[in-house]
Amino acid sequence: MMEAGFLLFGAYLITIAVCFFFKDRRVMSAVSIIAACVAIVSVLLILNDMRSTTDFIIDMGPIYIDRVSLFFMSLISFVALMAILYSRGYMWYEADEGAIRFDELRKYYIVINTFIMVMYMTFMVKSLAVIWVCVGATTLVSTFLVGFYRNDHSTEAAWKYMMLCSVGITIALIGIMLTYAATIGVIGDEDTALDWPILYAYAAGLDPSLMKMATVLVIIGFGTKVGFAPMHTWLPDAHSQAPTPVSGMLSAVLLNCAFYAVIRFYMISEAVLPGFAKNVLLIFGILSLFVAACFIVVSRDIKRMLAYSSIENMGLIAIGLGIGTELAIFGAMFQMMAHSVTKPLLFFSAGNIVQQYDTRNMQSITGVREKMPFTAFMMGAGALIIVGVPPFSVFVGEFCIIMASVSAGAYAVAAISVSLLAIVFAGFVMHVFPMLSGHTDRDVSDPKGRIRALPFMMMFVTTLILGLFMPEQMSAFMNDLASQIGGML
Amino acid sequence: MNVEVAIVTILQALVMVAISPLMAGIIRKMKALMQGKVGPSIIQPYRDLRKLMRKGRVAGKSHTWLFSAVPYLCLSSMLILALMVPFVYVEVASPYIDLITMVYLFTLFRFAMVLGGLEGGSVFGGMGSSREMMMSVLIEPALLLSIMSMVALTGGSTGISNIPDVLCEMGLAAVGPTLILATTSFMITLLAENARVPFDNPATHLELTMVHEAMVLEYSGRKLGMMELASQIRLTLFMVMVGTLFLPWGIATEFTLPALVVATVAIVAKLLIIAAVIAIVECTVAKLRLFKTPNLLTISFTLSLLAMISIYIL
Amino acid sequence: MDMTIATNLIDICAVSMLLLSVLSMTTLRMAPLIRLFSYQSLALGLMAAIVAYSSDNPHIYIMCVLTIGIKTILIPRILYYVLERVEVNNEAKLAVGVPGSLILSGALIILSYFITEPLLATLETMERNCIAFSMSVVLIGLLTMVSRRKAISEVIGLLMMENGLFLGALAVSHGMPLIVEVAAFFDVLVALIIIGVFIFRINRSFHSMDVTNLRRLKE
Repeated sequence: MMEAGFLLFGAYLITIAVCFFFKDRRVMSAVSIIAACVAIVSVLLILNDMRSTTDFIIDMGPIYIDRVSLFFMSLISFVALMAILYSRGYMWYEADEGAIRFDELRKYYIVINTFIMVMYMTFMVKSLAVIWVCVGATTLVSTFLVGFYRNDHSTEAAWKYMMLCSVGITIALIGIMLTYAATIGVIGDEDTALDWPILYAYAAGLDPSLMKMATVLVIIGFGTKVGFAPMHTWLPDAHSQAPTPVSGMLSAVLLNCAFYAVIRFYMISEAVLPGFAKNVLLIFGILSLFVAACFIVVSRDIKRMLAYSSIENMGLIAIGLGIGTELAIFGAMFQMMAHSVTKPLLFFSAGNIVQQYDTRNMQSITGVREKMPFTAFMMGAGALIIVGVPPFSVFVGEFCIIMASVSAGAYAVAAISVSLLAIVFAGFVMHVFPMLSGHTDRDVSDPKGRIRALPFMMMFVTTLILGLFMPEQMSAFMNDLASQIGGML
Repeated sequence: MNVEVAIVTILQALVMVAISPLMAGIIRKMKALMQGKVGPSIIQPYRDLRKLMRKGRVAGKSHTWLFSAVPYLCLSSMLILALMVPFVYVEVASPYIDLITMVYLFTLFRFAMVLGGLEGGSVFGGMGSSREMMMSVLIEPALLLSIMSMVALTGGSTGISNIPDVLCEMGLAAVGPTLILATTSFMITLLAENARVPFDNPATHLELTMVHEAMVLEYSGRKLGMMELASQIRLTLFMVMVGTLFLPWGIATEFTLPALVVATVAIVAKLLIIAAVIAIVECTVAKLRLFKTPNLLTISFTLSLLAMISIYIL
Repeated sequence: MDMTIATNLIDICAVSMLLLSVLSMTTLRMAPLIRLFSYQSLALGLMAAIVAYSSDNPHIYIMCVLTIGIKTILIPRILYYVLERVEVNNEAKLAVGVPGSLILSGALIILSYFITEPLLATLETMERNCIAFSMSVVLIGLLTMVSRRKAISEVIGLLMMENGLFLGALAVSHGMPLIVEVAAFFDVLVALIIIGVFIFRINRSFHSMDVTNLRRLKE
């Protein structure tokens, strides 16, 4: 385990150092890709270590890894590799076009690797307070990525992102503070009071009135960063203004990062006050789904539409957790995985299109299929997958969540979700397919280079496989994960 | 009610009325000294009053009896108040009164003065009256709330002598947020009620700024003297209230000679300190633009609200 | 120290923090706003010192030193530095007028009293009553952020929220584990530096600090 951890953080620290000292963009890109691959290897090593333990938990010093952490770590390792691979084509093109200077490219590589490293840390630490610190740090680091282009719009997006998420983080800390007050009332030990295993073990004895307030504050606070409506307003701005690889990262892993903290508190809160956190999440979930569905229909900007789709997916996951049966939680986690794999595919295709057409307005883009067949295929496939067309992966997650809410007797939730998902479907079809079809006179073409096509292929194949069949071990893992989150393990 | 209390009450009322012009003189002198001037003598207000009382009266044609009645109304409401405020001894002789009566006697004074301003028939009087009413909308709740929070702090009786009595008994435990906030709020209302600097300038007759002076502009001779005296008594009463209701330490809680002597020394010291505070404020703060005064008054209101709330929270 | 005096001093610190928050709602110019924040942090630091002394808990002294060092001295310095280099006209624009925002703050104070009342019975510290003040400071900070349209006043709102948070931490549990406190301070400081960078950028892009300019991104 120690080796894997050293490998992971060592790889990223070396990468950051190399990007700092070497002035060749090929070196920076190669080292980043290698680091991402090393990270995948170390996640696998950790998995291997965990299988040799009895309860599937690694607990040493300040490090604590269980199924939930591992699940999120594997998602980030996949998405990080995709984003870094895509960056090579995308950011180099930007540099060649003169949109960014070389030192900015270097800054990009340094910041994005730091960003990934901080997110890994979030999932590996033991104390809830340190999780809070890491989530706060992701905001600080990624602000520079959101405001990367230094124009009016990206400054605005970065400001909103920074301000709203800082407020959210502060509110979350109040919740953590109340949790701490509740815990030292029970445990009495001040230093370990926020450590996850201890907290979870004593959770049932915590004071309900304190925990009730703490739960609400934490869900609102971290929920701001997850993008729950009505605190979501930073999200479309940040996603649309960041460089496209970063948009993919924000959507596919940064939101997960905050959701991870929500899930941890959800587990504690459910142990103290069964049903309370579920209801809170259910409310935020339905609200987010509703807001996202409305805005997907009216949006003109392709990246904003994809950002709203992220809000929609986060809402759906919250609904899954809110229903809270084992099937629903399984669905929610599957949805999270499917979203993390599919959403970068969409963002990256959109990035290709935006780079070629030089506009994000979907109404002025036509004929993508004619001139950019590869991108058009990926965009179309991604759109169909993300709206939940069977038999692809997102469909499985959505199906599980809705089936679970029906069987849990929450017919209203099921009905609302299905109708909102139908609106989302209509919105996507209405916006995406006219863009792909038709004819254009503009001189556009698919970006050249195998390495630029590689992440698309990988993501497409992965999401396809996830929907069609799941390996035995993986489904066992997912089932255990669901029962652990549901407190049934 | 026993005789000694009655005697003390009447005596201290007389003393308060007698020293009122002196207080005005002291504040004026302190201001002058702080600004590096010599300033008029501290007994100058007495001379002014004597001069005014001797002079004849000029009145416009549009006045009615109300205009002449206003100075009497004002002065008498202040004289009644002087009988109600504890000065050196906690108990006062008037059995039917409480803090709410007190606040409303101040309001009666203001109401009479506003009427007088309007009755005068001049433009400035009406202007001053309307300005005064605008400010009083905010002054009154702040005044009531700050006194009420003291009532709440000391156990809920609105009797006047209850507050200093309980506060003296509580000792240091009383020096909490409520007391500080209420006193600060009351000091701000003191400045506003008595037309002192950030709200009004007692020294000028500039038509753009004046509030209080505009209302008494039409009065002359003896009537003006009475209005002036009433205003001076009002200022003194407010200062005494700060010294006995909000910071009562030193006041005589039992009727013995040493206690009364100590109380006299204490109240004189407190009055001088408060006068110095007022003088410092008047020297260092510029007069607020008329339309900014509501902001400061709302602050005073918020302070007293906070004082009230913090009793229940803490 | 006598317990009554300690309790009173703590209460006075807590109330003066709330008072400074309320006063910040009435302040239209930026420099006094920064000064109010600095005083508020000073009150927090003093309160930490009193709590540390009266509960005999030396690690709170560290919090006191950090608060006074970072929030009373360093952060206001940075903000003044930023202020000197941006827009000349620094009067805040209000979405809600001064009396209106004061009344709103009053309502928020009462609201936070009712929110926190059920918690009081469960806490054991002497200062638990201050939790209502803490919540009010947080909510008023939020109100400042919503109703003031200048970049710096938004930042002050955020920082005041943080102050309220630490007041709460002192009140309910005599502070949090040291590592969290240190990390939180560090977080604030880094956030502030980044915010400073972005204020310069906003100023350069829009030639003002008015964040109402930041409304261009929409559907």
